Amino acid sequence: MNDGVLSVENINKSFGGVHALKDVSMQIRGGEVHCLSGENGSGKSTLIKIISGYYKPDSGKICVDGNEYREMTPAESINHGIQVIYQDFSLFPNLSVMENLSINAEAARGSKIISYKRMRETALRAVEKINLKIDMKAKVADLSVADRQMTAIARALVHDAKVIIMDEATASLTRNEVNCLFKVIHQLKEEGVAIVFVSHKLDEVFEISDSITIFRNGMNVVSCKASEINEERFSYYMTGREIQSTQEKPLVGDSSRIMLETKNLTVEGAFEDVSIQLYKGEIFGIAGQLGSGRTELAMTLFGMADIKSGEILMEGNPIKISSVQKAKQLKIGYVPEDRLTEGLFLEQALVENVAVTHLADLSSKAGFYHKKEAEEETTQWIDTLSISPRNRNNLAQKLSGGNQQKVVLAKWLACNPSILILNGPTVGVDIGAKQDIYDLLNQYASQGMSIIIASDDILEIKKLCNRVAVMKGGKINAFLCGEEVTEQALIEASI
Amino acid sequence: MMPIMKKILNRTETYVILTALLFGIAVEAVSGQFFSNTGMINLARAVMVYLVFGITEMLSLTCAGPDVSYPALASLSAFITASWFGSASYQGSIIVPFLVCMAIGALGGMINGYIMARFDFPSLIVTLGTSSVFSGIMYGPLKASNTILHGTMAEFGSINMIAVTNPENGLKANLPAQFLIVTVLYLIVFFLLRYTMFGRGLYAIGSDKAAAERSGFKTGRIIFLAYTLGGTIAAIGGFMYTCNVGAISPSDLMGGEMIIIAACTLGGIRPGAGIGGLFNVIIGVVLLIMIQNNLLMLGIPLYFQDVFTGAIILLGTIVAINSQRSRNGIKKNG
Repeated sequence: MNDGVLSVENINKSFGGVHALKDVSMQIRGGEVHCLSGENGSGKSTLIKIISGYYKPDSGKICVDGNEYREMTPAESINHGIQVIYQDFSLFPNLSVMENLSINAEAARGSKIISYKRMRETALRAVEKINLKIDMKAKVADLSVADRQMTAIARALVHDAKVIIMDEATASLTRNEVNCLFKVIHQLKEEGVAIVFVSHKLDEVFEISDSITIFRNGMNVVSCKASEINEERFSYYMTGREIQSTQEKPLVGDSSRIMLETKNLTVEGAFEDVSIQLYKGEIFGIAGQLGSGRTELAMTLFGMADIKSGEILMEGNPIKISSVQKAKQLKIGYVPEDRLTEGLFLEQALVENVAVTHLADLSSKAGFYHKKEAEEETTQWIDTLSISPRNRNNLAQKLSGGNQQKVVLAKWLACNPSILILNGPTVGVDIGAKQDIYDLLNQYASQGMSIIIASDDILEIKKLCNRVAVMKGGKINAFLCGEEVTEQALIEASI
Repeated sequence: MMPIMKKILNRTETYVILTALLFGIAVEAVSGQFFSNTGMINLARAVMVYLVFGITEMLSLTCAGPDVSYPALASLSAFITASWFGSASYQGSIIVPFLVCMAIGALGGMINGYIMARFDFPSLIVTLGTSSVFSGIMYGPLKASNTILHGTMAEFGSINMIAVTNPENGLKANLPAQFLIVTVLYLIVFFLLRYTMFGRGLYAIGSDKAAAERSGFKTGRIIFLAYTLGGTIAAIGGFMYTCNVGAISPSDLMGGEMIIIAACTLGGIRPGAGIGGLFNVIIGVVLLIMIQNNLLMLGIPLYFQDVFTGAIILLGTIVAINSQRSRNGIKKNG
């Protein structure tokens, strides 16, 4: 079992009564990109935390370069050449780039006194490796997301890392930035570094991986070469069920009934001259990268921005969506991109979360809240959307990303909107739940709801939308319809 | 030239110093005594003990949040020390009571530090609790009350380092020798913060505790050390204050935490964010004490002073935090 740079054998880890990892073994060779995938809660984060010394395994062993360890501290893990790049980058925004790049190395040295000269040298060596041009004195707080990502990567290279684990490193990157990252990965691979690439973005996984390991329910269900597996099998291993879309082609909608229309809509500093039409019963796509104006457009349609010029029409009548309350009166619903801060009350039960959008409907005329009614309704939604665990009194924060997103959906569907706007509906949602959400949207659209999806996930747009507006730099760069909606066309119009 | 100007204008510190200068000029214009030798010495004397407590507060603010227990801890340590060594019968070296006082402070700091490191509670809650415990011990079993100091401790408090006389009006002012202690403390803590893993770790923890742990910092140990150090320094402040006043007055320092927290925030320290350092403590404390001590001079009635001070604290904090927010860079995606 020892021909890999890094291997784990029979790792077990429990938290309370939950068996998070069951007898997990896997090995990673130098010079390969090994994709580690699995749904939320499948144990991949737990394994990473064990490898990086953050958790101690209950049993099993970790082998690095032929040496066996029962457990490691974070500093030991770094000293063995293991580096993790976290989704949130784990940088210190209050410190300078130079310090961010070298502080791990200093901590791992175990010295009590630090030397700024040594730190500077360490930092320079790190940026040289990936030819990063960056102001060493700048505070990380002042950097762009892409620069932070590169800083995090450069930091991982300081230690002549043997293994670099990228934990959902692409989650907040645009496609251009992902391409840059992949270039760096290829370079590292040639230098013999082993890379563990954690992601559940299918297209990225198949593009970059040499081998694939998939976790489900804390077990390693498959480890194989990337060429030995296709997308369907991948989804099957992840979810344990065959994923089948009920709707093969995107819904077309009724072009004779225009539910919502914008004419030359402009919002200062966000987008300008946007004219779109939303048909009844369709899922309209607003594609575009981070900063293209898609989020702002979606938010404007929900009354969260000041319109500078242009107009919005609903079924032909000019309307003003000046506030969220107004939008709700007009039966428009909005599912935000960041459900954790904008979409859910994490510390409250599902019942409260679902009821909050339409408390008036759940109350008597005198204003008393009918708790029973709300509870029954929530139970119904839990069944309809197959939210698990099936307990309406669970706190929202205890749910996985996919189930949280379903709760956000439920609370808006419960208002019975005629127009539903979703911003990044499946960000951080795993494959199984993703398909559930797609099926739901298709189901509601086919029953006559009009849906707008703003997303940078090209596959998602292609799968759901018959008509797409592609935004770039605050303007609509292209309209695509029917057969024109291809991955190629979407990428070309958004870059 | 331009980028440097921009950088300077972007800093909270610039505005704090400017405000202090403007205020000083205003007082000078009214009284003619602010920028005199006695005026400066009096200011140094007035901020001395606050500067010491400022270090304690800064350590806590940097890595976690406000520490409201230091007045009680400083009082307790100083009271115990004074009740052992503060009578005329003790004529030995001042070093002994000084070290004893530090040790008691360190012990109290360890309690704070242990709870903070072990349980990860908000610092406000923890120190609110320990504050009650410290003052409870002092007033309860130890039955603290006001007593005049005698012997070595009283003598120590009256040693002056610099004595000046204003040539114009003949007024005198003295700077106690204890100011040296403050200087040495600042040098030591400056070194710790800037050149040791402990100091950098403190900033890293303030920024992102999980990330600091991932980086290989022993976060628990650093937090424990920070509070132990903070407690020790608080005790030094209490010791200095007691010697200075020449009496044990257990309730004097109580409630002082609000002024220090305000001074630190005003000076540019962001609670629990790993932003700010000793320089921020100095300018914040100097500005606030300057304002407090000179409002009467500017014709602001006594009963109105708290309102005025409060308003300045609020305004300063709002301005500082707003400018921080706008250039924080952590913007929403989209």
